[in-house]
Amino acid sequence: MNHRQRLLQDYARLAAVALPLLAVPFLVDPFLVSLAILTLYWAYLGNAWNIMGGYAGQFSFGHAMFYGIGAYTSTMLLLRFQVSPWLGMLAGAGLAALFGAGAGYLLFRFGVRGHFFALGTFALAEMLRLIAAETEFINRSIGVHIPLIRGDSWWRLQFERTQGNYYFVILGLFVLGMAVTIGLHRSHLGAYFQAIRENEEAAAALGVDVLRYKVYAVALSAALTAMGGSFFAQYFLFIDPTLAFGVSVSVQILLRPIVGGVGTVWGPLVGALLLTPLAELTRAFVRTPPPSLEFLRGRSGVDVMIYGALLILVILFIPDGLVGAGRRLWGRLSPGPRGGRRPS
Amino acid sequence: MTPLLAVQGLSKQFGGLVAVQDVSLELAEGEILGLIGPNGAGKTTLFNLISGALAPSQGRILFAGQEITGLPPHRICALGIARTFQIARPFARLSVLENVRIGAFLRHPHPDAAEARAREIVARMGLDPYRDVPASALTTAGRKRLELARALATGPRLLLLDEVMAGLTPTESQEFVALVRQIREEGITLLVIEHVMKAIMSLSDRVAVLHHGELIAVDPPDVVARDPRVIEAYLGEEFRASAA
Repeated sequence: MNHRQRLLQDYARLAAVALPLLAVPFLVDPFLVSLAILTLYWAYLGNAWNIMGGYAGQFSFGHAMFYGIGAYTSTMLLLRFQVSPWLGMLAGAGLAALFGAGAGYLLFRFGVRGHFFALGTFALAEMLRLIAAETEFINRSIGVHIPLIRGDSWWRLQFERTQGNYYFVILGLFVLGMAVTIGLHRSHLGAYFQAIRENEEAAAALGVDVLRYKVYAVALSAALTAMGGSFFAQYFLFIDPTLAFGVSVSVQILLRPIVGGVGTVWGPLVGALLLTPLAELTRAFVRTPPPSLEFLRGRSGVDVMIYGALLILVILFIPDGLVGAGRRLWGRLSPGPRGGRRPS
Repeated sequence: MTPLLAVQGLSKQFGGLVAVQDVSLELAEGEILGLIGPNGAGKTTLFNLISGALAPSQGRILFAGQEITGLPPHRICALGIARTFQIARPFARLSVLENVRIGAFLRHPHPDAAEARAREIVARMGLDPYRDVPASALTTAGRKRLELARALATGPRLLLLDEVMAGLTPTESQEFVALVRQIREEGITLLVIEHVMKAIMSLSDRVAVLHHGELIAVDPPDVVARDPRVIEAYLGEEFRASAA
């Protein structure tokens, strides 16, 4: 199979997943539609994180910085200059890519690696959060409301009557993000990212400009993440420094790709399919627990505890995530001539 | 004729430690130059300087007449110098073919071309049975072959081999000698660090001897083998080791 055929096969798989999903808003009740929106939204963000954290192996613990830049950029352009959130989304993506490239360049240039790199990204996100909370132009820590409009407007990316439209928007974004990852996965860019993750010195010795490709990975991941931030702002119609740049955003973003399978095309979606409904069910459960568990009533944070436990279990027992574990199992069950061990 | 590689007065200090001291060396196109010397003599440091992994403290390096001193590794590789690592550094989670493909992308940007080139090299290195397994599953000998395969895939004019035969059985290292000869037949110049004396003496056109960071001899193998300074610094040690 040549490159084009592989690419087409991957895109066909993506279409096979995405096309049936178009029917979801017509088939299920509004609660399930909103759950589907959240699931795709986290899958989209996880996929964006995975480009940098999974493929290029540059573990980000501060993806909220890009997310927040996206959320604030589209929102402020809309409120102050009446710019459509679609354009604001692109502006935010550009700005986040620039910020990511600059920050990444500085961190990489001075040899910040591994845990220290993760801490560096965390510090940058916190820095932006604190700056946002002190900036008058974006209403400090009080946050910004996006005024409600009546009816539905595609131009304003706001849907009062038809919540399902948000679903189509996030499905479109998700397909776009996945298409980017698939293209990456099959190109020399993706191969270089993986080589850098595995061994930087060896990659450099084979002609890979390590610094340049690491910066590319951050910029690309940042741009996609920022678009997710813009979507959230339009969906939730409110942002503040914590919602935009908070630690929990960073953690939520990296959770799904890690559980699903770091550095795999489908890992972030698998992680989102498992974790998002789990989180929502847990919240619903805590709201109205059975009598025997009455003490849980109204306690927030149970979902976070479950996340924590899951994360520990995954890292201990299946560091390559559900997709990796599934692949190994499949390899054992279908012993082809090469034992089905082909990593692709 | 311009030498393919010219090292002029090259030195490298790490703090107070002198790892390479005023080394000058020339390689003609198509030559196999062996580089020997006791552990800690500065052989690998010299490789790191030539391949750009380290910047020299003093001195110049010319490749095909062009100054490459202080260039980053990826630029030097693009100019046509490839290297292997003494301790193999496979991309562990990528398959053998994918490992080699990384190198092949340098001269073959299209994925199909890179893959075709990588397959060719994988087959030539005798790695075909392991083409699709993760590099982490390879044995020591397999990893050494993979190092060589990846470096070859970058299409070098000069290849630096850092102890590719260390830890191999005599049969395996004989196979390697044949491989290296074959690589030279294709017009690739080689600078080879090796402790396996039989292999290096039979392979090399000339042998350079490093001792405490200084070059003490660069001569044909039979001359080096009789050189009293070399015997005292290095070969003697080897004989004692083999007698024990």
